[in-house]
Parts: sequence; structure tokens; C-alpha cells
Amino acid sequence: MSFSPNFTVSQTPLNPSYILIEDTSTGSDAYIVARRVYIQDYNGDYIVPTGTTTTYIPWALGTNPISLDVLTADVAVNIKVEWLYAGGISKYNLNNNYCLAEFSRQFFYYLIQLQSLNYNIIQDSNYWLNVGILWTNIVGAINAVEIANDIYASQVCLNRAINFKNNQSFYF
Amino acid sequence: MTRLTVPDTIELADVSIYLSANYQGSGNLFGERLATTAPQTIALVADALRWHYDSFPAISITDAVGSITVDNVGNDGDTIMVLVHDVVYGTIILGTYIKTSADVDVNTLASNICLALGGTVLPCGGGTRIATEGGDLLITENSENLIIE
Repeated sequence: MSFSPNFTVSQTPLNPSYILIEDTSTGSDAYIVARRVYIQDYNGDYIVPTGTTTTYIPWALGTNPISLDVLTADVAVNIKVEWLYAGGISKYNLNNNYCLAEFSRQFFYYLIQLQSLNYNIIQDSNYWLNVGILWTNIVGAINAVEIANDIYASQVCLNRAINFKNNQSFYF
Repeated sequence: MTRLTVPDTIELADVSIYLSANYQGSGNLFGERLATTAPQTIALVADALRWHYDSFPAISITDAVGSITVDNVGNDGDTIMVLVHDVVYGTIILGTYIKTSADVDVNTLASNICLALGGTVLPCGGGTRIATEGGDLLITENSENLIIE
């Protein structure tokens, strides 16, 4: 059966700093000897773990899935996986856009959880308005990728959500 | 009464957004409704639940959560009573446990309190997880905190 490349991407809920990539390719190609991952942000910059000097992250064929500690905040990224023949020849590749918003999603749930303990907080000046804006930006970031395939717009929304999280004592 | 699972709750919330919006819309004909932000409020809370369930699907039942910190083993013969003060039903006694000499540390005592409330002790990370008959979970979050979920 011919090789058909595929992979899935998720952010680890227990530690959103980690991106989990799983190779779900079908078929086989005996000439494949290596695999690489490229993670590019909305600006075209490559995201790699600390200490990596290449623009890609080597992904050993015997390792699946791979967990990459590369995030400090939510990002919208393009992730490309390459399957290589000997001599570094890229034979197969597949890329897709992803909105990795787990930090913001968990922060949003945390706010709603706090609200259940102190319901009167919604009476605070601008509290509910800010919760609404945060929600709109998270949903907007996800939709920008899922509907429009636009990681730039998605990152702009995520940056607003990150601002709410980083300045939560001011907004909430 | 059968309790709603989290997916049930999310589904009901999704339907309620439209129902609530329709109700607000009818206010154009029959006078303004209360809580004009209700559809948005439901949508916000539904997404909070949806996203958390996406990340942590092991939570399948919508239960209230409380916590008990067991930080002292006390003395043999001490009676430990676990109570819930509910605004509707008043004080509810979840169970009692009498400390024995076998409760040599806070972890053993926490486990035995959970067992006294009708649970089964299961390993859970650094603590103890107790699944009760009704599907309620009693979890010791770390070595000393007992969370009743």
C-alpha cells in the first residue's frame, strides 16, 4: 500500500507548553529514513525547542507521538512534517494551520469557575464585558484558522486574549 | 434522578442559546424581557464547559466540588463528620468516621474517611481516588487534601 502522509496536532491539556504531534500516516515506504517537523508562527519565524540550532525539529521514526516543549503562550502556527529519503531528500510533506489556544481556554474556564464561587463579581465594573471580549477573541482565534485558514488573524485575536490573561488583576 | 453528563449539559446549553435568543426576540412584540444578555451568558458558560471537557474528558458528571484538608490525625476515638450546608436542603450529613489506631497518618485517615462515605479506594497520582456508588468521586488531590466531587 502506497504511503499516504498524515498527522494530528494537539496541545497537552495538563501542560499547554507542550505540542503533541502524532503521525497517523497510512501505508509504507521502505525508503523513508528520517522525519522532520517545522513549526512556523504567523510572522514566518520558526519555533523550536531551546538549544535547537536548525529551523526544523528532528523526529525519529521510532518515536510516535512526539511531545515538543516549545510554547510559552498560545500561538497560531503552520506545522509541516517532512518524510525524507537518504541524503535528506524530502519525499513527502504535509502542512496545516493550527490555533493552539489551550492556555486561553483554560484561563477562560478558570474565570467561570471563580465566578461560581463569587457570583457577585459579575456586578463589578466592566467584569462581564471583559469576560465577553476574552471569549470573543478565543472563539475568533479558533474560527480564523478553522474557517478562514488565517493564522495572522488568529494570532491577533490570541494576542488580545493573552493580554487579558497577563493583566488579569486589572481586567477581572 | 439521573444526573446530566457533561456532554448532555453542553448540548442543552447549545439549544438554550437559541431558545433564549428567541425569547429575547419576542420581547420586541410583547415588551422587553429580563436579562437581555442571557443568550450571550449561556454561550460563554457553555464554551467554558465545552473547552474544559475537551481537555479533561475524564470528568463525566456535573457535580458540585468541595474540599477537605486532613492536616492532623487527631486522637483515637475522635468522630469526624462530613457535612454539606445547602441553601435549599439545609445541612446534609455525608457520613461519619471514628478515628482508630490504624489511622497512623493523614493519608490513611483521609482514605478511611472516604471509605466511610461509601467509596472504593483507587490509586490516583500521589493521592487517593474514591468512586462512590452514585458515581460521585472523592479525590485526595495531593497527600493531604481530600476533594469531594
